[in-house]
Amino acid sequence: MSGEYTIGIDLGTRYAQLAVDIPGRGVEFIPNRRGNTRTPSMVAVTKEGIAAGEDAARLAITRPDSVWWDMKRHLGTDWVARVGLRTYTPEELLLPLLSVLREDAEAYLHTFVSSCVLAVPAHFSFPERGALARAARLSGFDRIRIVNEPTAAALVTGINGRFLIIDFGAGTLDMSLVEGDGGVFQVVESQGRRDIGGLDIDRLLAEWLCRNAGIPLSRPGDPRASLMMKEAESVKIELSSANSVVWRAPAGLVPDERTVVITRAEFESLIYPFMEEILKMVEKMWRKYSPQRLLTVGGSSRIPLLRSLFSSRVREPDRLKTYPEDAVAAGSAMYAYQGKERLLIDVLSRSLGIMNADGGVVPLLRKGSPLPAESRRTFTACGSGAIEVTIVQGERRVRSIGRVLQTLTIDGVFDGDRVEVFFRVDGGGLLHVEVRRDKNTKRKTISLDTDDESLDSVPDLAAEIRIREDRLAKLSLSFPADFQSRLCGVTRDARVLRGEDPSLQRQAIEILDRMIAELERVVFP
Amino acid sequence: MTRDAEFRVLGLSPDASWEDVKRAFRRMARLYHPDVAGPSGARRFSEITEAYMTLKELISPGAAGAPRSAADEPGSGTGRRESIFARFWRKLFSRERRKYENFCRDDVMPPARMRFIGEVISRAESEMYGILSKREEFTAKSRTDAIIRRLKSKHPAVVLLALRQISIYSVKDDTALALIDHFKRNVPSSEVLERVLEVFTNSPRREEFARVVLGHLQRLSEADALTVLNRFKRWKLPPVYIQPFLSSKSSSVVASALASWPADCGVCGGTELAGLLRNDEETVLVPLLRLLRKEKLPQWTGGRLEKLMREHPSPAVRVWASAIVRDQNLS
Repeated sequence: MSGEYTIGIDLGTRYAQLAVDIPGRGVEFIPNRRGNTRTPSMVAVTKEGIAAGEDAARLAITRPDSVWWDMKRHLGTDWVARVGLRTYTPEELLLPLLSVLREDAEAYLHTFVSSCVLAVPAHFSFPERGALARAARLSGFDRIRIVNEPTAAALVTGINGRFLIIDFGAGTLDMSLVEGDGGVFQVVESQGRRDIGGLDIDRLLAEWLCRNAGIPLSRPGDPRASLMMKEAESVKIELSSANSVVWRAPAGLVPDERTVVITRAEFESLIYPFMEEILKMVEKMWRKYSPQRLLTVGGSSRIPLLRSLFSSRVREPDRLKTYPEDAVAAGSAMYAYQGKERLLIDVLSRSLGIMNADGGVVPLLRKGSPLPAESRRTFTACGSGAIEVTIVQGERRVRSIGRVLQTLTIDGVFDGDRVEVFFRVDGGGLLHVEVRRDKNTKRKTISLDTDDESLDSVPDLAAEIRIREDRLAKLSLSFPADFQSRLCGVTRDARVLRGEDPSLQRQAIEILDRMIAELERVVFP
Repeated sequence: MTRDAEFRVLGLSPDASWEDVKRAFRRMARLYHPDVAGPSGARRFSEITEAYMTLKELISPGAAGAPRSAADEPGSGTGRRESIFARFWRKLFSRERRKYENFCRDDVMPPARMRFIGEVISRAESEMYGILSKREEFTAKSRTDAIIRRLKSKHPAVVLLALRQISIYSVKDDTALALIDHFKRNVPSSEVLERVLEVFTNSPRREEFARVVLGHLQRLSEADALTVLNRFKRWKLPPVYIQPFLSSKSSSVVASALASWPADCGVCGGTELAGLLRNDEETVLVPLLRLLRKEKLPQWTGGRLEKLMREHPSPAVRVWASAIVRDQNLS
């Protein structure tokens, strides 16, 4: 019943884009309610309520202090937006934006849409992904998958062989090394930085223009600052094709008429340090894997300096043949319909493990594991009382490079108890963790999906059902054929519930458990 | 675990190169990746990835573990010896297991035990059936939630979509409330009006909804107002819901409202009556006068009625007017 379409969302820092891959019709880009295929990723908090998308963009000039557009950069941090006495977390701000995008897709497709693929920057870790998935769920999506932005773009290329794909957008720089093999794309490594993006270039350029035009630098939040950023953006775009640009200060900024001439050379010397950083990253990847091709996507990759630096020091970058501008959105839409002809296998970009008593990391899932991946490991408790299970990312000792994702506490543990830890990263890029204490055959389960219960319970329950299915299959070996087929029928019914309400699945598990207990008494008296 | 076993999982011989491993992994992934094979491939896929990751650490060029050395080479030294032992144990175990299975099969189960197992299974079957039927309820619930969420949308096309999805036969209370809330804020468009009225036909909240619609009456088009009026008549709403239609600008709406006015209650108060009498349309005047005949009319209506009696082009109006003037001695 719920929507037959899965839409791909490229939730960019500045613009969001929607695409859908309709079987038999190819990828289509979904226009919003104003007819544009790019929706500004802006959210405005006003007295009349929250506005998002185009409506918010209109408010950006007049009321910049109540409009936000860089929530995505702050996901997973303590950052909050303050409006009067209320504060909003990045998730709360993303929610209306995602709702607006969903509605646009529904209006275009004439049906309810409840599943999506969200493209996120490669440096997003599990807390950020979890937070974004939670916002998407609250905004009305039931099935959510998350894919790395450069990885999604790789799906569009259709290239055979090893290539490096760089997504340089407004807010982030991401790159993926991908191996294509006859329609199967396997990611080897993804990297990204959140501190290099087109907006940082705009900010530099805006400061330069202000300095040279004698305009006092305004503090951020000032309406003039956002106007200046818009001006800088258009000057930057113009400089990609023109050799010099005459910038006229808009009437709102200065009382008299002022013009500044900026040449491309001046602009390039301004942004050179940034480009050097990018080059360093790319060269490192290039030396490590020696790929055959280099591809660039994203608005900021059009800067001529970047292209010429690539050609002289790395390799001439190729243009994408299809959807050069919108590869990420198109790729995420294509990722929704994976099949035999076109399959993308993403990998875990950093190892996952738990911290042991002396601060070392015990890895459970290794870096580079193809997704979906799962791992189960039993530990012996050391000391009684409450123990903490700390989930960390990275291989090294926690104090150096590893990153603590979450700490789960289970109490009532005795020295020598066995504690089972179960990690699962699903194909949708979300992490599920379960910690079980095995004592007197009673199991206590604590699980998290970066502290959201509703998200994690469904896939875990499916695994639970599968375990019971196996046990029943073993038990029924000694049964006559008709009993075996009836047992199969019962487990099939339980399997049908996958993806349904968790409470129903739990009931089904109870029934299976009861049946197993009774049958075991007969078979092994 | 021996390295042979990993190679076997990927369908390779133990001397395969890392490139072969990658290719084999992708070929297998194309068959068993959960996105292709569905959840049933999940276990097989995790076996494949397990083997792939182990081999990656052992033989991939970038692996920190060990580049191939002579001692580690499959087919020589420790590797083979281990694998022989492993094979031996596996064979032994599988033979034992087969014996156990055969024993169970051949052994005729006592009928009492058979009956017991049958009972256990059928109980589980019926319980599972109960859950499956509850599932419908849950889907219906999530469907209602989805519709209500969309009714709150500001996007008209999305609201329209939600309205189309509402089942007209079994509208739940929460949906009805969401609809009422929506139409408090928005004038119903002609496209959805008929459908929404249909939805509320069997709802206990239809009078509440009727009040909401009456709030928008002045902004409805003539055709829409008639649609609403006809529906209200069919719902047999009390005259208080019909009364607002009498002040409509469209004479056909007024006429229709008057035509169905119950004979046993008064039409309206002074100012509205004056407005109605000022109307020149035959379709309005005939039903109005027919109703007025049974009432005690105030003296000021006399002048207008006499005028109608003498000057109105329609004979029916003249007859009714003169009848009232005669009966009530208004002249």
